[in-house]
Amino acid sequence: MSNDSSDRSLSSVITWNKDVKVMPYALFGVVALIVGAVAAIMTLINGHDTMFNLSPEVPWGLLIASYAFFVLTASGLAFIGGIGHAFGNSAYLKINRRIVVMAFAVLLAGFTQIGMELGHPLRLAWYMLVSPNFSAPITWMGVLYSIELLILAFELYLVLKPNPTEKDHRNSAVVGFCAMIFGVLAAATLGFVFGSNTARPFFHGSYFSTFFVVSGITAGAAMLLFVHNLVYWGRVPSSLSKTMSSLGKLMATGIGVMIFLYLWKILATVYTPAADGGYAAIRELLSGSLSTNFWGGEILLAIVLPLFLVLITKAQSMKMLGLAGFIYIVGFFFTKYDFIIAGQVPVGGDDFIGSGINRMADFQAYVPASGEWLIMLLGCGVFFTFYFFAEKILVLEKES
Amino acid sequence: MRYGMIIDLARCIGCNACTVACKSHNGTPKDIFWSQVLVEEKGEYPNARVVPTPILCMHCEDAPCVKACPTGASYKDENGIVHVNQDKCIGCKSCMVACAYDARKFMGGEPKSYFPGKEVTELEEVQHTEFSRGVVSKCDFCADRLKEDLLPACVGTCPAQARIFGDLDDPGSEVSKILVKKSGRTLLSHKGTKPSVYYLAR
Amino acid sequence: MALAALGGGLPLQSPVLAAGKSAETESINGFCDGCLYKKCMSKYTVKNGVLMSSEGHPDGLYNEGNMCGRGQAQVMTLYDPWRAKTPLKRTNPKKGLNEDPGWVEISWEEALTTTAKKIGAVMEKDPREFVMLSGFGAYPSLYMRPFSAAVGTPNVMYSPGCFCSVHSASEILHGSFVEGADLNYCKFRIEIGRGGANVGSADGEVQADVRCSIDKGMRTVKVDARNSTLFSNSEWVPISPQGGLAFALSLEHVILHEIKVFDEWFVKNRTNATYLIGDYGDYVRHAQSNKPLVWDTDAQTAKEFDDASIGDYALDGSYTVNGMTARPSFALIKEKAKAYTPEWQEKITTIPAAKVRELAATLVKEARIGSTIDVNGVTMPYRPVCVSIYKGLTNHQTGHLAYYAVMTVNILLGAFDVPGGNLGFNNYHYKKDEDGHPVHFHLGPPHHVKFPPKTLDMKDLIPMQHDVGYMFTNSARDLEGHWLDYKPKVGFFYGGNLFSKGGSEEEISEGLASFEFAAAIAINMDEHTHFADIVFPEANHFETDFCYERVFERPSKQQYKQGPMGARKALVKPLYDGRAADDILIQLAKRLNILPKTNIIMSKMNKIKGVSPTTTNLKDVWDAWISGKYGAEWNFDKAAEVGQIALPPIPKEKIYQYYYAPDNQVRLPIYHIFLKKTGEEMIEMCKKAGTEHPVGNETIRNIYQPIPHWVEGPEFPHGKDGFDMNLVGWRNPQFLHDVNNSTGNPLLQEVACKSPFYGKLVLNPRTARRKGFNDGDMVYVENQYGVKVGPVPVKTSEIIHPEAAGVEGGHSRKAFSMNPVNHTSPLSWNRLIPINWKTIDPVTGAIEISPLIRITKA
Ligand SMILES: Nc1nc2c(c(=O)[nH]1)N[C@H]1C(S)=C(S)[C@@H](COP(=O)(O)OP(=O)(O)OC[C@H]3O[C@@H](n4cnc5c(=O)[nH]c(N)nc54)[C@H](O)[C@@H]3O)O[C@H]1N2
Ligand SMILES: Nc1nc2c(c(=O)[nH]1)N[C@H]1C(S)=C(S)[C@@H](COP(=O)(O)OP(=O)(O)OC[C@H]3O[C@@H](n4cnc5c(=O)[nH]c(N)nc54)[C@H](O)[C@@H]3O)O[C@H]1N2
Ligand code: SF4
Ligand code: SF4
Ligand code: SF4
Ligand code: SF4
Ligand code: SF4
Ligand SMILES: [Mo]
Repeated sequence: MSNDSSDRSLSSVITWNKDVKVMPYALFGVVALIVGAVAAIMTLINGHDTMFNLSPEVPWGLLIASYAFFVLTASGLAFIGGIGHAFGNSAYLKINRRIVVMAFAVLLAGFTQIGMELGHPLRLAWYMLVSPNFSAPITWMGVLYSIELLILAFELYLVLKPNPTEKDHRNSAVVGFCAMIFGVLAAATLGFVFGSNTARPFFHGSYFSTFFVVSGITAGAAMLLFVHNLVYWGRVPSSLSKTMSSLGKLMATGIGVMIFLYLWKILATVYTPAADGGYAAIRELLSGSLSTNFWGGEILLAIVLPLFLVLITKAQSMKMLGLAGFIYIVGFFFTKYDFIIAGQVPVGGDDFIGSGINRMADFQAYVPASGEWLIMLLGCGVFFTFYFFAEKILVLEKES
Repeated sequence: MRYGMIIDLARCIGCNACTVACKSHNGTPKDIFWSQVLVEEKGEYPNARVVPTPILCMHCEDAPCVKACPTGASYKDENGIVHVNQDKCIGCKSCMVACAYDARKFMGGEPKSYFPGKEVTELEEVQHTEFSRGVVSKCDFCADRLKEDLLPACVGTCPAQARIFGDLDDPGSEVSKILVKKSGRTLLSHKGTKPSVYYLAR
Repeated sequence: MALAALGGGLPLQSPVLAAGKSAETESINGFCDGCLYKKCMSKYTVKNGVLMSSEGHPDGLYNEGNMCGRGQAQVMTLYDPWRAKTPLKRTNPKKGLNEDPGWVEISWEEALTTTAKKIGAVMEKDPREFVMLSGFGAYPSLYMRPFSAAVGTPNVMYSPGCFCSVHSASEILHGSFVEGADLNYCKFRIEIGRGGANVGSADGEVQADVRCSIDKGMRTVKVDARNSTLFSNSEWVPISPQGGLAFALSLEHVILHEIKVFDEWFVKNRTNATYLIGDYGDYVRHAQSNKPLVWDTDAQTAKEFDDASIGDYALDGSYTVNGMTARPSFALIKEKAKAYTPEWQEKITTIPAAKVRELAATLVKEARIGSTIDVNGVTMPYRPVCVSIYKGLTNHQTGHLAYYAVMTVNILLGAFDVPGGNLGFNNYHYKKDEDGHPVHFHLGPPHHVKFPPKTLDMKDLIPMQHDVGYMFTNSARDLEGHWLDYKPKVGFFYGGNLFSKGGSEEEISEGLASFEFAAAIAINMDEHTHFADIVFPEANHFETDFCYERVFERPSKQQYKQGPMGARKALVKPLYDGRAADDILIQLAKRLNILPKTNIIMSKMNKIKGVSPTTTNLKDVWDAWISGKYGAEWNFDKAAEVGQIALPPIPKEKIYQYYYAPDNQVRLPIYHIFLKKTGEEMIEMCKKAGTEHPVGNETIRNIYQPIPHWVEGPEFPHGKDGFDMNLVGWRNPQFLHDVNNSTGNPLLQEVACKSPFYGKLVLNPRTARRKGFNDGDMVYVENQYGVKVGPVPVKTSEIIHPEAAGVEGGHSRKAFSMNPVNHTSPLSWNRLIPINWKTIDPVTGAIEISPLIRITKA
């Protein structure tokens, strides 16, 4: 390969996109990153106690929610990317680079969340290698998301490789397909981390694996809709309108399935309150301390509004799709937050006399501390910085 | 051998001597409770009363916390005691979420002193060496005391003599004999964790 | 496996006590001093010179290896950085709770000399001006009273005073400090106003209680304003706070007038129920011997009560003897009880009439009247029922009456000092006076009432008083009004706390500030140090050798005639410059040139022989004490090796007074002649001095009656001006008292705060609803005398009577110089407790602990 040609081909990937006005986002990312990093360092120095508001009753708080929020979105993105490859869906293939970069950035953001959530993040890698416990779902989740990160990194390399050969194309299709499979598996396994839990009846079962995958794919679509609108400042080029409207339909379908899942989970629990199927948690969601979050955050933001916006515009208005995507993403965050907190509602009943008073009080006392919000901001910062700088300097759209 | 405990709820007076004994013998820092007494009001005036339920790690035979621990930091020893190896713990807290008995405590900072704002006392200086930040700790049935043929601190101290300790596998032990005579109940038995801590009915 | 055999909560047969954990870890025997009783044998783990933990010693006579939370947490107090560390002198002359004394450190020499000079000055002029204010912190002191006596002052008082007037009736009837059920045999027990096992002590009380309740199936009914039941087979009968007397009287009524079954033999042979009462309620006496007369129904004539020829006694009827109409006292008692129907009491207590009938019937049935039991070969009556009390019943103006009414019920059932029944616990052997009545043990014959009163606590006006030190706050502020012809000038504070355990803050402050000079022996900079000029830091008890003998028994196993002797070596090197309290007193005595006198009085008071009058060495005193009691082979060092020693327990049959009085010659005064006489005497005495008894002659006449009867006290809720309920307090197991600074112990505070009730005003939800309060609302609580406390949060609870508001703990501490954990409980029960002549029980000096209150929204 001559220098000349390599130069030219490199420019097919790396440029300075003058017309892409994403610097404000990237800069926001940098600021968020710095602020978040300061909080992270403070957490490393001072420890969780001073920075987070966790308690023995609610050991998993905002950061587990934000972790799920990010990694499930990444899974969803990988899924959408995978569809492009697997079924040759040209609408999605068109934005494949964007999808891969975005998935990678979001997953990275997710890793910062779990990293900061751990009491000893550095030990993690070591002991997962030295003495992994394979009966722990969290081990598998960790393994799968690590693999997913590697796959996405490899895919990133492949899709950004200048002068891709035919083989590269085929490879990247295979890798994209793998990313989809592992993304979905990882998301489902994250669901299983909760689903395998017998201590918290609300978590237990296959429901969340399904819900995570579906809502994650929906989030992936929403994310793409939203980010495209950001990148083009609300004026998504018509060349992408087919893609966007396809994503909009995907999102609407996802929300449709979610409605279905919600309905039967809630009905099944409320119908048999005595069956220890998480009634206390559902009650907390429907009418308890989390009810504002649930009705406002989940039902309104994750279901009603985005669906409404997509349906009345027949998935044709780019702006409305972007808005719907944004609203859904916020709602999606609530679905994760609420479910993780609600699931930790004390196990009640006569069998555990006393749990009623002591633990309920502490449960209701959980409100994320500013330290937790700042770590979440760190995650956002990682995403914004990584992704929008990529927008600025990489060619993320291909003619296809 | 499988160590086990019986707590006779008919005797328990909710005095929390067990709580303090556990704290003092294990030197757990402020806020870290391995032994607790839950209290609840039951019934309506005038048929109401306060009922205490002491809880600690149930040393479940089928321990969900051990299963959930990604690094193997949580493990069960040959005597049925569930331990946390503090050097291996990454502080992911999955064990806490997996435990329905509120038995595990995460210490998200340096051990807290009982005398904030003052110099760390000689006593706490020694006590705190046993505790490191960012990991989970829990009751270990006072394994160090068992080695010396002493009863767990909470058992020996109980003024109502409501706690009985011994080997559940040995049919001749006091605990086994009692469990044959009176039906002991485990908490949340439907969860299938098979706790080694039994409760005699109030 | 050795452990397998351990279970059962049974004491472990200590295989490894002396053996340390490892080379640098030592296990040292001793006894616990985490509460005033110090009855529990313990062992301590010391690691590299650091005291790590304590635990119950399996050989402990009382605790059997157990140890309560206070004992467990006590180690903290040693390392408490808030301790009093060096001798201090005040520089700010202004004394007050919120004044910074401006402490400067001084030498021990300066502290001792300055104080000795001040005491010396009043000692020469008028030693009464020296006032010792003491309390439970001074329980282990051998020198506190002797030192004060050697200075020559009569003003030695337990400062917080009479919050537990639970001794009077027991003293008179059992000759014992306290009473309770025989936990060897009792089957059915009613407890009125007793927290009991709630205080969670390890010293044998809980163990015996739980064994009798759970293992032997004793049923307990708690008659209390809040539910204090703990064991599964105890039941709660809610009672309105001022109703205890009415309930007891009604039990008497049902037994005498409805069931009409009682232990006739016991009543006839062992009480003065047969004594004939003539005009003015006095005994009708034999003309020559002056002995009280009884009516022999066989001979149809009056005879001396101890006449061996009596065929049968009359309990009823009316006879003419010595020219007057005479009736057996029983007839009068019965007549009085007639009005006290269950329906009548229901209006006062809110206890359904049917419930009272049921309880009375159960008492009679379970008493198994006529049955006997063999205890170690001795046949005795078997009456396994008991009505027992504590301060919830007695700390009211009518407390002594109520106490007497309860004891009357026990006596009617014959369940008195026999197996299964109501017992005294000091193994006092009845001695009788010429009327056949037992002579009291602790208080001696009723305190001789005198006018004018000589001491600041006014005990000369309160015949059955027990620690009425609280009066000091009144008398010190108004000497003339209390007929005192001297002014207290030098105060000495040691181990008592008027603020956390006494009454109103403002009044106490004024009283304490009135001393020209005051010194304090303190373990921490508590409220009293704010009123001291010199502070002597007391060493933590773990830093010095320590020796203590437990004297008073509590209802528990009662097999030990004397409390055990505890001995403990210093466990660690002193952290600061403190000294043992008795060492400080000895040094002061030396500088006052009263050391020999002090030592001699000390020897006498404690029955110690062979102490050199000039000794300044506590250990010599302990050696003499221990060897004198346990034999020459014992001394402090040897005792400390063990930790606790005791004389062998007395045989079980001998714990029952019945054993000592088979001749039936001791007659329990069921007709309370002493009360009647003393009341008359007091009124007469005051009249001679041209005044009234400060309680009011009317009240004296009302209360000082020979037969328990209904009197409505000044804190009775009628709802006037919104004062429609009473405040009741109870303890949490963490802070029974402040001995060893328990409220300042952050570990105990941490645990106490887990209680849903601690620091809150507990209200029945119905009451709260009626008053429009919700959980967490902030309210003010006010007593009839204008003291207002708050704002405090409301906690609704089903375990409290709708006419009561509850406080758990209730010692809200004030001094800013203490560890701030002290301030976690904002609700001060004590401040609302009225301390004045009009509300105290004029017989015992008991303070009204359930004052009438009004609650308003903050
Ligand atoms: N709120 C409330 N008030 C009460 C009671 C209650 O339960 N609650 N109980 C009442 C009853 S029944 C009683 S008998 C009285 C008892 O009341 P007190 O006789 O006053 O006894 P304590 O509260 O144990 O101790 C009082 C003071 O002694 C100090 N002290 C403790 N140990 C030592 C020591 O070793 N050396 C020295 N120098 N000082 C020491 C403490 O710091 C505290 O300031 O309180 C009565 N008042
Ligand atoms: N080991 C050890 N044991 C001790 C002590 C110690 O220091 N160490 N201290 C001893 C001393 S000094 C005392 S005074 C005792 C205290 O022993 P208790 O008197 O048993 O203790 P309290 O918890 O104060 O219980 C008072 C009860 O009376 C109820 N009550 C309050 N007001 C009223 C009322 O107006 N009417 C009725 N019917 N009930 C009411 C309360 O609800 C509560 O249940 O403990 C003694 N025991
Ligand atoms: S020490 Fe015994 S009686 Fe007290 S709370 Fe614990 S188990 Fe219950
Ligand atoms: S009680 Fe909890 S911590 Fe203990 S073994 Fe069972 S699951 Fe594990
Ligand atoms: S917190 Fe520690 S002990 Fe618990 S599951 Fe994680 S690694 Fe295991
Ligand atoms: S067995 Fe030991 S570690 Fe476990 S609760 Fe009891 S005292 Fe604490
Ligand atoms: S009752 Fe508790 S504080 Fe008192 S001596 Fe016993 S262990 Fe110590
Ligand atoms: Mo008392």
